[in-house]
Amino acid sequence: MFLRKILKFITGLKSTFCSQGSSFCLFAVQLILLFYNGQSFALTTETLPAHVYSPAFRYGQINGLENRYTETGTLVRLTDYKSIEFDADTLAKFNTKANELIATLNKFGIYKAGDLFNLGTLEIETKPEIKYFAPVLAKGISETWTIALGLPVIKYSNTIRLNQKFSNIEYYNQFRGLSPELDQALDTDLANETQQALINKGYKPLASQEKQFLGDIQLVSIKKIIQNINSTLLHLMTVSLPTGPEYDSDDLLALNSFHEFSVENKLAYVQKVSYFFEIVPNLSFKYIFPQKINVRIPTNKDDVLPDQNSKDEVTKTTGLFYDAGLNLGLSVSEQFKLTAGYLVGQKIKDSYSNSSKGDSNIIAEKSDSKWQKVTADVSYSTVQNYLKNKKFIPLILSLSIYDTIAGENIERRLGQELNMTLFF
Amino acid sequence: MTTIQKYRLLALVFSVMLSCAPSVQDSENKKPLTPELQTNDVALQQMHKNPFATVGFALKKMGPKKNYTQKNIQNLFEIGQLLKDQNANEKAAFYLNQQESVALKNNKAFAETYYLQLVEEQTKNTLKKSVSEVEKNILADTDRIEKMISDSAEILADQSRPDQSLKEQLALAEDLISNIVDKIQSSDVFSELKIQIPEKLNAEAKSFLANVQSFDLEFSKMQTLTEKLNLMTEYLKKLEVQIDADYLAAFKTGQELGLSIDRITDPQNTLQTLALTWKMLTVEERIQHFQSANQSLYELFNKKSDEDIQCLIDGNCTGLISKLVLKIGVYPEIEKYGVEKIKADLNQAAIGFLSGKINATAFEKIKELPETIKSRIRDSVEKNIGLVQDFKNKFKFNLAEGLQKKLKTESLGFYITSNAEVELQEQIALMSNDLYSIQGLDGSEKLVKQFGLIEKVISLVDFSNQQKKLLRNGLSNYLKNPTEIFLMSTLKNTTNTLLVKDQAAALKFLSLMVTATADWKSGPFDSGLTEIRAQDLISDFKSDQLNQSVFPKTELFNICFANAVKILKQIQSEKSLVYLVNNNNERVAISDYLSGKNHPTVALAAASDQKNNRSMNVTKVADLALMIDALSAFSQATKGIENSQSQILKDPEIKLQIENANKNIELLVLTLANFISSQMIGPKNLVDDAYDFETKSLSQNYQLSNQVAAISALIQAYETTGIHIYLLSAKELYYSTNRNYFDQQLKFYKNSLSETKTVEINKDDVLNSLNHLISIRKYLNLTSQVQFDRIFENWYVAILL
Repeated sequence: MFLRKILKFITGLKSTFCSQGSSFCLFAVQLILLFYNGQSFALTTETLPAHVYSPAFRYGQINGLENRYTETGTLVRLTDYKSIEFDADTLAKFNTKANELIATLNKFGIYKAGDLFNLGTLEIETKPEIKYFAPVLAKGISETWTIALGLPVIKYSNTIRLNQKFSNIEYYNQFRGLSPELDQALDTDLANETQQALINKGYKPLASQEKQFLGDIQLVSIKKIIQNINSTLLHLMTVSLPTGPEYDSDDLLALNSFHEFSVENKLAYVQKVSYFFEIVPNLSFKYIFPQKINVRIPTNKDDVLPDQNSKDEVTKTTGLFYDAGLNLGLSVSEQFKLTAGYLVGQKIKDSYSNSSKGDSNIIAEKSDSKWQKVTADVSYSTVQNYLKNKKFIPLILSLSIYDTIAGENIERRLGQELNMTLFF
Repeated sequence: MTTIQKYRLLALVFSVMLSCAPSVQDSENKKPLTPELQTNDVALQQMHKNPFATVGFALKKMGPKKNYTQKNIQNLFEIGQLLKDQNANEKAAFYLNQQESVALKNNKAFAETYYLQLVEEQTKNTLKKSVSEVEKNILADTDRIEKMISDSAEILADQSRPDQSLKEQLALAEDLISNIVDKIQSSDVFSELKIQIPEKLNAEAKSFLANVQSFDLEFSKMQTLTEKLNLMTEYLKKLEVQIDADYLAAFKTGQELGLSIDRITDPQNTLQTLALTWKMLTVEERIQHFQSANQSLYELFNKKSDEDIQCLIDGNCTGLISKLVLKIGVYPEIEKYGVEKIKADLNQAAIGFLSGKINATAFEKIKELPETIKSRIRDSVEKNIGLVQDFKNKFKFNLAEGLQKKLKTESLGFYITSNAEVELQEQIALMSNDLYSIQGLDGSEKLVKQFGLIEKVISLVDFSNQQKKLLRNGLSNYLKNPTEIFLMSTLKNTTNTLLVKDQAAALKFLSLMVTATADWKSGPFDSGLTEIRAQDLISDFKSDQLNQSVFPKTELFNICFANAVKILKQIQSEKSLVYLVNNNNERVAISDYLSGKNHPTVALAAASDQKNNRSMNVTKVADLALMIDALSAFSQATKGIENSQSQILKDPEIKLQIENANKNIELLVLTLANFISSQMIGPKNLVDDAYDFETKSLSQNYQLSNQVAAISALIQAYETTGIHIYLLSAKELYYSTNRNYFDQQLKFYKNSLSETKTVEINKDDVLNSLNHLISIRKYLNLTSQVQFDRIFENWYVAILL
């Protein structure tokens, strides 16, 4: 019984790994994945000719989410980071019954056997993976302005396994039969207890899952503000519409990164150093409009797994996203182009409106983050050939690989994306 | 930019990117620690020069031999048991005999023993029922035998006639008896009757008939009436035949007649005899015998009055006429007939008459013979039934007498006293030693020890100040009723003090007795006492029911088990000397704990002596170790108890109680062991002498005897509960003992930490230390085992010399 109480706490600790306002989740991914978007690495620096339509299909996957940069910037496995050791100190801290049990075990022999009691480490092994497919339709309004509409379809899978490791319960089996409470403690299956604690609190049990849904529809505008022979200044604006899944406060595995109404503005300056080589410094910020969400409000810092009746509708004000990047483009030939990019950014801490159910500020803790990302992109284009002899279908095929190489309070993202853009 | 330059730039960019690839930091999770030994055994040989004693050194240090106490003998026996060393057992048995021969007091007669009282109580109802049953059967069979006799009598009645000679009558009587004997022997009557009645008939009746036959033969040889009557007198006396007054008067008259006939010499006394004969006969007989023989004589007598006849008999008739008639008429007539002839005729007639009478009497008597036999049989049966009743009433004394003979001693040496008081501790040590010594005994010596042990087990009740109350409803009830018993230190109960060590010692001994008498195990009570049948002790009365054992093993087990349970019951009682201790080191009465609904977490138990019904504040490690020893012994003794054939243990409720009790005993052992190993450990990992609950502090007194007792207790706790941590704790204590107590000069352990100069060593300490430490030896590693042997071996050899 007493272990269950502790597990409430332990399971609640997972919330500390959630970030960016998604309280009480096992992980949260800032999933901005549309083309023309500053955070999508194949940074577009061209607009379509006027009246030209360009359908594009993007297919990508993000993995590496099982690793996370901690608040000190160390990259750890989520499994290790989220695991917790149930030693005597931990047990005694949170429950008087456990304290009593340890004190009792300390009476056996001269070795303070209670102090050495260890139920082991509970590891929550997760392997989240996101695949997406996004049909995009762009249209050149004028020679310097293109707009686009994207419908991202997300396929999210997560394999989860709860393991209890490194316990010394086996040694303490010799004490079996002495007290029902001790027997119960020795029989503790941390995985089951965790699941049971979640169910009791009205959460969905932690189980592997796979689902597919429509993400937030995005509207994009690309406008060349200044254009010279060797340089261009672009403004990219992305508006996300809240069409994706709403915030789910009962599902600790939910991504909870959708259903946002946001605007991102990016300024990119393209400087052709030579015919083959260009550099693209860029700056961006993203603003998410305050939204009302239904979340569980903890009563205090120790209330890490709030009850079902703690749900309340609060206004979430997501902190601003800032980043700055530099892309280097190298045209190997008329068809092939290689691009490498580096991005550094940060997010401001979220804030929540007050709630009568508890302290909503607790949810916002550790929602600020920083990141540094790199990307490599190779593209093949038939556009030039098409313009020369009209013999080819005008299209661009590209493959991007990107990774988060440093950060704080953020999951690592290692992704690949295949993109095919047609023009007609 | 050339193509080569392009590729170089590209390679550089990718190199930079690859170098940025983050690496994941591994976690440092590892297997957590479990309790492990904190220290290792000290290598004494490396610490000291020549640390171990030689035999010579040991002999010198232990000093001159002195008398062994019962406790020393017990230690030696226990070492012998543990090491399976016959030398130690023999030595201990030798010292035990020596002690018992001088110190055993308070002899107890068998009839006064509790055991025979118990047998009497337990058999009272059965025996009563059994005897009543026997009585009923005997009486029913007696009726059947009487019927057989009546049937035989009817055959006899058909064959017997009054005119038959005595010889013929005797033959018929013999046939009758043979017929009765045959019928009884071929019937299914009670075996004792079937044997005894024919035997008696043959012995008594046939001998009687043989005598009568002898009489008949001699009777026929006698000539005169007087001779024949004298023979009759002789045989009547010989055969112890009782005759009635009429017959006696007739017999007297017959003797007078005989004498009168013998005196016939002339007509005058012939007439006197004839007159006497006339007087003796009836009117019909006078006609028959006188008228036919001599009409004139008949007429003469017939005319005479009785007075005249009497004067003729007396020979003093005075009338002249009468004298003339006699002289002129009668005497000449007699002379004419012949005096001698008359004498012969009279003799013949009298004998004929007598023979007829004898035959007639014999006829009558033989007719009565069946009834006589019946009467004799019934008398005999009633006498036997009386004996059975008597046997029932004196059963205990009969057994006691039988035991005296069987055990070849008149009484049991009972209490041992080394001073004025009979002390429980000493008595229990004696009992334990008696038990250990049975193994080497046989014959009556073994029987005496076995009986004495059981008697002593029951007699523990004498050490209770509630003895009278406990035995109020009889011994049988006392044993059946699982009431607690508290034992005082002395038989006289002079102080109102209850000691933990007394209760513990009693429980341990009773547990050893439970092991010894357990019917599902082989043990020292398999032969000897348990083989004695009641019939072996009772010779006066034979019965199939007496073929059962007087001391069946299950009954001995019941006695020992019941007493052990009584000691255990006291632990659960309100006045218990043992109590639980909560995590704040506050005492909680076991009865309160058991009756409470919300049990606090309790992992400790301890025990304290009581004085005037008040528990002392101090608990001593030696007492706790003894209690663990006793409880473990009980737990060990009752392993497999479900296989017992004891009727008491067949009761499902009792079985459940035993099961629960054993669980509680394990818990008690564990909590006591916890108290020693967690609360009584002082600096240097040594066990303190005592803990004070009032001041919540240790006494700061560290004795060797406490260390070895604690080590032994923790090993027992490990073996009873299977909890490994006690073994580790015991090893830790043992290593600390080696480190802190081993003395270079003494070449053995010193008795206390504070001792600086030790000149001599007491062999009691060697025995006590060895006895307690043997149990840990098998758990030590090889090096420590070798060191253990070297510490003790020569001291042990010196003790056995």
